[in-house]
Amino acid sequence: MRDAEEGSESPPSQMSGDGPGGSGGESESDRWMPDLRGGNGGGGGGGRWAPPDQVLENVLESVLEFLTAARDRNAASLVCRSWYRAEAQTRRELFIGNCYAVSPRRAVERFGGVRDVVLKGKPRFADFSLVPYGWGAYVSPWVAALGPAYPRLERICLKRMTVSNDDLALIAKSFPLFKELSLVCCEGFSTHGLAAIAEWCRYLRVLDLIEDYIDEEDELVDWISKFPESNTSLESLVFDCVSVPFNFEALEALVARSPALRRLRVNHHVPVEQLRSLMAKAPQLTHLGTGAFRSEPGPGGVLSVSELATSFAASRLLCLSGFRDVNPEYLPAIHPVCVNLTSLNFSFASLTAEELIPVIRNCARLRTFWVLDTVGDEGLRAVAETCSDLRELRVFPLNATEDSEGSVSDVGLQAISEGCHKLELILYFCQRMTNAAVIAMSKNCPDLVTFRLCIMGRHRPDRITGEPMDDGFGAIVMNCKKLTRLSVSGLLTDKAFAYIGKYGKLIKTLSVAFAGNTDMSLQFVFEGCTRLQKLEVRDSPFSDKGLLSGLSYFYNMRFLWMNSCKLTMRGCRDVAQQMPDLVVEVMKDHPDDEGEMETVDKLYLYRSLAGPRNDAPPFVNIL
Amino acid sequence: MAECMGSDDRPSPSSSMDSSTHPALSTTSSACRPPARRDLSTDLQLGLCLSSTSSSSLLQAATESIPSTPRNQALSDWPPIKPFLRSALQKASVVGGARRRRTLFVKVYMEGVPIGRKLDLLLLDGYDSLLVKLCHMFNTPITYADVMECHQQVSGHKAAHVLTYEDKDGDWMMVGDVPWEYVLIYFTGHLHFILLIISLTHVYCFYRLFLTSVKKLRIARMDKC
Repeated sequence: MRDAEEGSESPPSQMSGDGPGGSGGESESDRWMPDLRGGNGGGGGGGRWAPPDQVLENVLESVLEFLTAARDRNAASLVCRSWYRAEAQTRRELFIGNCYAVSPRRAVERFGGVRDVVLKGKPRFADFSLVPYGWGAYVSPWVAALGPAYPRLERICLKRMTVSNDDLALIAKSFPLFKELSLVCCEGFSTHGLAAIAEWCRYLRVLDLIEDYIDEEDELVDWISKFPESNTSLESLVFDCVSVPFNFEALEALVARSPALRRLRVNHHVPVEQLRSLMAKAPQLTHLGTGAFRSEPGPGGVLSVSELATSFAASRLLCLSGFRDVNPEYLPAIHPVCVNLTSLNFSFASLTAEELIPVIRNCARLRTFWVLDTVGDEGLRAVAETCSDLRELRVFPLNATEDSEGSVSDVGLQAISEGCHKLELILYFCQRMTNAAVIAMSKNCPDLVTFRLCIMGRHRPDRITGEPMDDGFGAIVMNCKKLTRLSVSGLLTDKAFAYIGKYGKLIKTLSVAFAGNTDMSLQFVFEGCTRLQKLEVRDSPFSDKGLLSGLSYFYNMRFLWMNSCKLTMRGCRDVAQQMPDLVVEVMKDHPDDEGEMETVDKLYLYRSLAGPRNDAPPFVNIL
Repeated sequence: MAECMGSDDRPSPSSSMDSSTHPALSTTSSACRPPARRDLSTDLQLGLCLSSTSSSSLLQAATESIPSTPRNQALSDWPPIKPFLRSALQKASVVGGARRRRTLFVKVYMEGVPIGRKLDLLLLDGYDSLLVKLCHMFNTPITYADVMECHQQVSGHKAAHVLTYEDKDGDWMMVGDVPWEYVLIYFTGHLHFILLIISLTHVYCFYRLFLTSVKKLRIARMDKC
């Protein structure tokens, strides 16, 4: 963090901004003591009651309260020391994009009034089992530091971190005003930890467990029963990833005494009969995760479709998900709410086009749609014809292999591009694609911010012309001027990366797999993508030369990940030696060979103020 | 989710192997038995006397036998799907997909007509819809064992044809003779059958399940029965 010189524009008062002002928190080389008597100069008439600096700082803090965006705050903190301090005291949300980039102690020392912490840990390729188990991203040191420093902390959001039950218990006990806990793609905890949160966080409003891996130990704890017995403040309870059974009666009772509950997503142990009961107890719900969406008859017998439809008709739902083991016969029950739906997640429901179309025909207001490729190009065509307001589309594969039949293709993509002009985010898995369809999307959907195309067959060219997919991705970066995130696939040469470097000026995240032919690809990207923050590369023929072409750019990035490329220890050591504020971690799949020329299986490098971490497991070598 | 129905409830004696099931000797009160839509809850227990270990090991065997990819290198980390989604969908395509994605086409011949038709039994949900479908296909009234009595008692209306099927042994049998419970035991050796039992929630499974052993249907003339 550089300290700025005194600002060129003169501040309202006559204070020189270089001094520490009234209270000196940091040690400065020269201390300028203010003249406390006869304070002339503005700042609200300090006079004998307060030095003008102090008043200015108070005013500044009040003003800076209104700055919420981190970028604006970072800029403000660079103006001068006074602004730096004022900003540090008024920052409410602390966002740490890489938990190893700064030590908890340092973060806590700088920022005094934090209410909201966001921490991200492992690199994204950990989601696909590319980061070995036990790599790190432990939240424990953070919780230990945050506890004493921010007793008024209200919100914690963790992504890809290792969270233990003890950590959750400590969170629950450290923050008496705690309101929101969001765990995304985390692991290491079980229902014991959830019980601690439920029991101790009396003011809890949000408990969102999204795509976490919950330890399924022998003893299951009935965590739902641990919520306060009086009316709760719960607004959101998301636990569809908690795959173990739970106490349904306790959930019913909890829902009944949570009048503010808007969002409820249950796991697949809930059949439609129980779902109906929950809906009746919480008519104010706007977001519902529907569980299994099939029947498991209880004493009341099998629920009929029309009875379930009545429940939906009486609801105010805007957002539906779940359908974890859907019986398509029950789908018509959601027709009453389709016209109002803005978000629909069918990504666990293997539906055919015939099953999807009657539903989607009613969803004219849909903005977010997640679906499996079983609906085929025909299903996507129906989406395109109805959902003209669609902003986000994700198409997942039922058979995530390279040789499966694949029901969606360039035809579906083309149809979507022709119907959904407002599309901002697309994630599309397919077996076959053409440049023409991708080019069409680039022209029809100029608002695209995220374009992630996964052609599952490695190195697969254009289905019709047999050419590489260079032109398609080139068109995307050329025509989609707002693009910040791009994932490429298929047969790609250096030409594709030349396009990306030339036109992808706003790209922050780039994912590359099985692509490129020489190191020039990497060089194009490093030199061209000036806003690049995160680059993840796998199984591509890039060597040390390509790696070293990025030397002058690594400090501008959050991280670089490369696995199964052609890197050697020598190249990685070069980088580590030349860039002292970079942490260079290498991992080997088979730790047998030694020597300089050995290849590196996995490289993860990131800028850091904290230096090499001390919790690295044996398979991680920090250079 | 895929819980074993290793049930401790023993089947009631009236539906055991030994009781006669010929419609004429049936103990049900109404002569015209409603086809297919019975309370099969007791039927489900029958033939499901599988211990949890054996059934789960069968399910395990079935899952392992599903080939993930024919290529020599089946990558677990490509395509980039999160493991929980991958495993959830794999279960769906084994169990649920088997339930809905599979087809069971059987050939149907009408006596006197050399060219047969094909019918996907998995699209039907019971004996009566099978009849309706066939009546449409062959444009002739067809009956089967269960409702024969009913027709005979209703004056005048006589079905011209009766529906029969060829079972595993190659014998021609009249459809509807055998109530579901018999057939379940009879075809209980089928792996597919066991798989669906374990994941059971839907009574329609049984109809489809047992019919996987059916090879052909034949519509025979009434006077030849």
